[in-house]
Amino acid sequence: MSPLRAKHWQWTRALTLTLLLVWLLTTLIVVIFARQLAGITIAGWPLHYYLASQGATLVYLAIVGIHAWSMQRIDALADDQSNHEH
Amino acid sequence: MHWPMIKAIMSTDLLPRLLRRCFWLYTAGFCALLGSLAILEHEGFPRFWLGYLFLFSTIVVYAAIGVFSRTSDVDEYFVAGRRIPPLFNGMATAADWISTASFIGLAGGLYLHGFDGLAYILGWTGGFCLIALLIAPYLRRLGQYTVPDYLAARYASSESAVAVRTIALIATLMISFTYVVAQIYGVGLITSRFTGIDFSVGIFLGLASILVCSFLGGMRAITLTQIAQYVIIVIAFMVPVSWLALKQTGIPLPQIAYGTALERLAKQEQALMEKDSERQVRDAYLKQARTLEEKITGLPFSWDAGRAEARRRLQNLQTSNASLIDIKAASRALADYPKSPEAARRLWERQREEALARAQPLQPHTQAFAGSTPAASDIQRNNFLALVFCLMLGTAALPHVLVRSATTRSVPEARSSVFWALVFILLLYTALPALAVLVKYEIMTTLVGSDYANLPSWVSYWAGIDRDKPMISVTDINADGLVQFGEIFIDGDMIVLATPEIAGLPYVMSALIAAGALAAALSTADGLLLTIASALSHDTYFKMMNPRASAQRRVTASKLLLLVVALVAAYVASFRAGDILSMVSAAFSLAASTLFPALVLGIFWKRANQQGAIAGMLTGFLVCVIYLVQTSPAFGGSAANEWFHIASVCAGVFGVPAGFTAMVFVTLLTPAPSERQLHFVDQLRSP
Repeated sequence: MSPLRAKHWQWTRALTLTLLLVWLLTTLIVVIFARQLAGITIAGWPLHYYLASQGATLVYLAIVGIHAWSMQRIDALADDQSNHEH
Repeated sequence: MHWPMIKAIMSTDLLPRLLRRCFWLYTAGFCALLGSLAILEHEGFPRFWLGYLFLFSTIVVYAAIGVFSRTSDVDEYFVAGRRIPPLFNGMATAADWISTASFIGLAGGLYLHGFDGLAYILGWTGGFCLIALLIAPYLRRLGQYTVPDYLAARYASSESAVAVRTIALIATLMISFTYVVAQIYGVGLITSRFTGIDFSVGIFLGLASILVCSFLGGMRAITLTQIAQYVIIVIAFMVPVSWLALKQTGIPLPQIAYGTALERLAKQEQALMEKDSERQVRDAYLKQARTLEEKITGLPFSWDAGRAEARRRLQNLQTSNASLIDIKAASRALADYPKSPEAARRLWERQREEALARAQPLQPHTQAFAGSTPAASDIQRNNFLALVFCLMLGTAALPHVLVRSATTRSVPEARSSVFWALVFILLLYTALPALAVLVKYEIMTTLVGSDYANLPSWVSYWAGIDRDKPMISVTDINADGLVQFGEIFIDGDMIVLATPEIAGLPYVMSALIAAGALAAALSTADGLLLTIASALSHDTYFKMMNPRASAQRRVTASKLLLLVVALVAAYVASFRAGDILSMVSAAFSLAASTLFPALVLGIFWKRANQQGAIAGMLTGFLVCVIYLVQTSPAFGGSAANEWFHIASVCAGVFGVPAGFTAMVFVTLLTPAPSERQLHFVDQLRSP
């Protein structure tokens, strides 16, 4: 595997890992602290209910969006550099 | 894949524009149909015909799309020529994903269980993160047709990959088949309810439209139909729900409106909880449960006594010249009396459980993890979390969803396609909890407190659809002539379908929702049937039995298999196996335990080899199945065998770690993969 390819994979892996961590933490926090968050109400919404019904899903959407966008950047970066080398 | 260059240029350039134009034309056409039907209703057109007209015109549209996009080209048939633009592919994926369980079941679950029902919302959206991050782009890069194909290509040693392919194949078939049976069951339910035709006729009618579409056009036709179906699904759901939101809160956007609605619902719940009449109802149920308890402990004598009592009552009525209705009821009660003490025990225990459940005080809708003690509440929380993870990992391993990433043009487009899919799914999923809240408030304010003498007409309509298993029943258990919340029993499955009637919207809205539910069932069934057929024709026939089969033959084989699978599925669905929903949930655990470890480690762990994959898939599968059989009453087990009080639907919580562990251990104990396989993984990971 060329060094450039290796680097590309390294970035990909780091990005994937970071986003997976965000995914895991979001889910765990929303579920585990649901009872504690239930006391807080914002504009009629009990916070735990809002997070579980909309908040977390919007975070998931952001994760997928950020992944698609950043991967495009990473791909382009690897492409650029390989053009430089030739 | 290598299709002619010219075709590629043509398609990338022209197809999106064409698609977009057709899409807007079609959407406008559908809205026009909706509008004209609304006018027809206003003019006094019979409701019965309105329902017919609506359902059949949508079915005709799906069939027409199938006829227009018929194909026998392999790439077109299996992966729609790999040229669907990401936005539209996302839309098709969303329709593929939104099944009867989402459209009908989810809102019902949310209505009945409140916060605890949100596990499905979290699980069924969070799973898409895993698809996007871990699987879809890599699957697309490889360019295979099916999931077993991908696993075989990754893990094949130099000799063959029969074992990996076979196991993956069996898992794919089991998962997709249970899922498709549930969809076809849903089709039968909806068509029979809204057109009055027989359940089994309804099944075959719905099936006919699925078949015309997928039989003729394969993935290409299915993708186009699914886009059309998504439009119907979303309009059918959003229009009535927005209407209801506007009516209750004055804000037409349900996603925002239900903050206010939640507040009002909480107040209404509080008021109901403090009411004396509600307490009387609970006491009455508690008494009922105690009586049943006495009868159970008195077995088998209580069984004899009960039968004698039923006989005596019938005789008394007959001799005392009572009304025919009373005599009929008494003789039916005698005929339905349990045939043996054992049957009586089962029946009475079930009835006692039900009575006890209804004797529980009302749970506030937003109450998380209700439990009588902190420990019981913790068990609820753990189950919630376990279910969320099973659904997420299961989603990421469902073959019919994964194969959708193969229909995009490139790897980046496969990624953004998942993004769009999630956008379109969320449009519906964020509105579902709103619907549950709005309908609950509507029932608590309009049905509760109304007079038994003049119940709304929808109550008797929905109660009368299936006399043996009524969808709704209200019994005046405290005999005060008024409906209490505790006296209402509602089957969650009717909530969405009955929303327009509950809210007093025009009938055309009911027909619209039925069309949407039908679209949801058909679109998912379409995708599943093709997944099964291509697994059988591509993986079994072409890769394992006859590798020299021509492209033409493979497509023909797939078409024939599709027909056979559809008929078998319809046959199974016509038995109306009661516990289909729990079977579908089990399918998620099965998918997660069997396929997820092999899929993910195949990409992210170079060392993973064939032996490891086989061990992982087998172990995951076995652990999951054994746990299901041991703990699920539907499969003959009992909840007493649960580990850590985790319910049987969450079997994947044990299956997935078992699969991962077995895979890692066996891989490390066996030789590293060959140079060719290592190169293959590099290919997968390259930009």
